[in-house]
Amino acid sequence: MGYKLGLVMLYLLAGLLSFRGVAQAQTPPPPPPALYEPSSWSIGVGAGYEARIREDQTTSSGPTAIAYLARPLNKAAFVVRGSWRLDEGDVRVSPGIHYRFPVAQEHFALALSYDFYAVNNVPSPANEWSAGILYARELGRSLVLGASVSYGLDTHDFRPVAQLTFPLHTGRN
Amino acid sequence: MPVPQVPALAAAIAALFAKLDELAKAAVAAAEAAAPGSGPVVAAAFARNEAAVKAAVDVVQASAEVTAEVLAAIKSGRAPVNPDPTDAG
Repeated sequence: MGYKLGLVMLYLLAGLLSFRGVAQAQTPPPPPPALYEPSSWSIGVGAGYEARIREDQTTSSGPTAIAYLARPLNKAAFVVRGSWRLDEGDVRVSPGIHYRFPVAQEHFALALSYDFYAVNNVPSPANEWSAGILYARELGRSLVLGASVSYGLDTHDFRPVAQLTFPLHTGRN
Repeated sequence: MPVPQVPALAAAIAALFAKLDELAKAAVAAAEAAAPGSGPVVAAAFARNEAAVKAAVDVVQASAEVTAEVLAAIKSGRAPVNPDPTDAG
């Protein structure tokens, strides 16, 4: 008699588990995270060296402290990049959009952003739209090596930048 | 660079390139008839033009794709997260 009771219990357990499996399989996938969801954003800091090549061929360059905030999408990203030229004191804040295009499994992106300038010790450029191209490569798990060139659509300045950034948080679903 | 095809533009782009191909063949035939031996020169010129047009089409398709993705994200207020090293700016 005892083994019959055991068999019944086993049948009940199997039925319960299969019902739970079907229920899970029928559950629709969760929606993607909202844009304002903090965990979906990436944030990081870094340092770099930035040059400015003006239209009249004069140049200036110097070390730069960098911070960024990004909301990755699928092929694009909303990005706000802030940089502080340590020698001139210029602060540039650039909200914009990146469009990624991998080449031979390397990470490239086109960027369109609006550059706001503030807190300067020397005459700084007027705010302007800029377009650029970026390359980035992960160095291990905690560093990203990047290089970019952007072009000011009003000033016609070129700004090549080499930078090393440290992601503090990477956005996730 | 593999630029994804935007469905809304695919038919128009295919028609554009078919028309370009047709024009190139007609021009090469006309040039060859007018001056034998000039066909390859005209064909090379058309090939250069076609490469430029293809590059322009890539830019248009990339712009359309990023615009569609960004607008969809803004409209729905949601988007899947796919991080990339270039997000560091």
